[in-house]
Amino acid sequence: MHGATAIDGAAAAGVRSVAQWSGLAFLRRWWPPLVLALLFVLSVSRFDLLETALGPLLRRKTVFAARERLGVLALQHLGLVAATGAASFLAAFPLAVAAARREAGALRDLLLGAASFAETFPTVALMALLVPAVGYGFLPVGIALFLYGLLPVFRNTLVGLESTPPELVEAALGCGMNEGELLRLVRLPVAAPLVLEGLRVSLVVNIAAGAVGAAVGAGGLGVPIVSGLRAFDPVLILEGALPLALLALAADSFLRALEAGLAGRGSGRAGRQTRDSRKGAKHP
Amino acid sequence: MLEARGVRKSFPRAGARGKAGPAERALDGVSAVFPTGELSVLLGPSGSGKSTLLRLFNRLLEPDEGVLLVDGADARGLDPVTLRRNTGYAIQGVGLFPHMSVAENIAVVPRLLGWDRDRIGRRVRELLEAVRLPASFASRRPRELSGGEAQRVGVARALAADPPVLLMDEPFGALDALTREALQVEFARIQGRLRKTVVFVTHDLAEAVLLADRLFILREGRLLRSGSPRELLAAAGDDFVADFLGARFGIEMLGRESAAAAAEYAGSGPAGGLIASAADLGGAAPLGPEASLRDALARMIAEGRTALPVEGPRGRGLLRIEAIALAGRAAAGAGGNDARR
Repeated sequence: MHGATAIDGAAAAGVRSVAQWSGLAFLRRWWPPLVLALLFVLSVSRFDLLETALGPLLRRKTVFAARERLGVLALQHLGLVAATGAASFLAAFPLAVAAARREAGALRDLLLGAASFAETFPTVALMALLVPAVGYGFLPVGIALFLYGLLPVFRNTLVGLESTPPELVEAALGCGMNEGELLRLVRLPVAAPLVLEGLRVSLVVNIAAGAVGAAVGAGGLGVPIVSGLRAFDPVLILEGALPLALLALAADSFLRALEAGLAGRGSGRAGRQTRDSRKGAKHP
Repeated sequence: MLEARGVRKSFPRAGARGKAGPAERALDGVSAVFPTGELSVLLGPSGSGKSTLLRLFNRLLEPDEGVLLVDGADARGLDPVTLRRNTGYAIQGVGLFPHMSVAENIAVVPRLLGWDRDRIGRRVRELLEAVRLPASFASRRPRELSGGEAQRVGVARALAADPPVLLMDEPFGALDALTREALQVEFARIQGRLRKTVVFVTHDLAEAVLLADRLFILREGRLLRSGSPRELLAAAGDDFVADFLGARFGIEMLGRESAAAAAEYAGSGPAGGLIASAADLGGAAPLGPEASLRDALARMIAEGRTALPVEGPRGRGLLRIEAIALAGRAAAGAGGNDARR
């Protein structure tokens, strides 16, 4: 957002952030999402390993009779969540930016109310209403997930933009920024960690809610769960539930790591100690 | 030159049950001239309207009545964004942007003005040097700075595009006493070189006296008195002003007076040759040529002396405590030995 800064010192900062991205520092931040993503892939591709291990405890009663294999279902699920998540973000983010403007007035409360209403509507009830209207398949689930994804992004972006510390606004205006520059150079970058948090909540909720898709023929990781429930087969349930849980955890921890990266830009390494030890020498 | 003519400004006050209450008058007919190249200090208790007056000059606020002139032009006729890019602004909270590096913070206004990369880079290095921060600070984040360092960056940011006018709202207010004094002295040094038109808000008398070419005393939205610190010391002209400036005013004034200028030298004073021998004074370390009368007084108190040797421009001299007591008063009329400026 402010990457185009024409500053010499930025080159030095660049060198430092490259150092930060390499090696240990990179691993320290990113190992949880990496491990969880790996576990997710394993749970999809090599569920048979787990089944063998669990064999003595849980006996599979039915062979997984669904047309699709687990990998296909996982990809369906990912596609569903990615598509609806992107759509929610692309709709909610500009709306929140517009609603945060001073001129928005009553529109702000109206939009926030509408997004909150969509959130409070129970998934199953929404599905029951949507299926008669738009039929079975991807569409009803897609619409439902899109609506659920709106609120977290909208609310967090709105709150983030509205809670810019007043002294930053004062300083920015005093520097001669117009409203657009204030938004682009100060409000949005300061709100970025909060916006990302909204996206995280939105995606994680939708990964879980996406399981409902199986009930209306949209596929996804809900399929083995629903079949397993019908057949009273714990292994089959686990075949859908385990990847689903791991996917949600991986997405959550990935976005958390991204948030931490944004919130702590430039902090951390050059810590307090170096600063304080130097301070004494510099201000006699 | 900045000028306010008959400026009034009220703020709506929140009344009972969310209704708008009676308006609170912040400025009640203020007229003042802030000359080009001088440092004007707005001094007064909180609620006296100092900050309000300041913020009218970069149109962060608009007056209810009256006119504000910037170099003779009515501020209402100027584009606020252009006006602000040509007016440095430093505030108490500093307001550094946390997501930007020190260099990016300093470069905000030049960037808005569309300077090229090289020019901005040069300017950032220049300013870091001017506010005495090491060049390595360019890539730091505001959260890695101490209060004093952050405030230096704030001053550098205000100076970045070399604006002719600088508005400063208690810029050193949140700092500890030692850091504040160091920054005041440094800012006086920078201003001595740059000669900006500065309007500086403070409620700290010592700070005001140290920095001001001209003092403007405000109270409850009215300008009570203005003038150079010496003029005000000679004649407060008003009971409130006299009370507000207080007995300490004379002592604070000593901070501006050179010890070397108040000392007696061999061959010049009535005491003649006596001075030369007395100036050794039992081995007391001499005051440097930069020392102020306040420094001299502090030394005398600490060492239990009534006189100290001084290294002046004309060699070793002798400073007596009587000279300190007289210096401030004597200077008030004559406007003579202010060697600091």
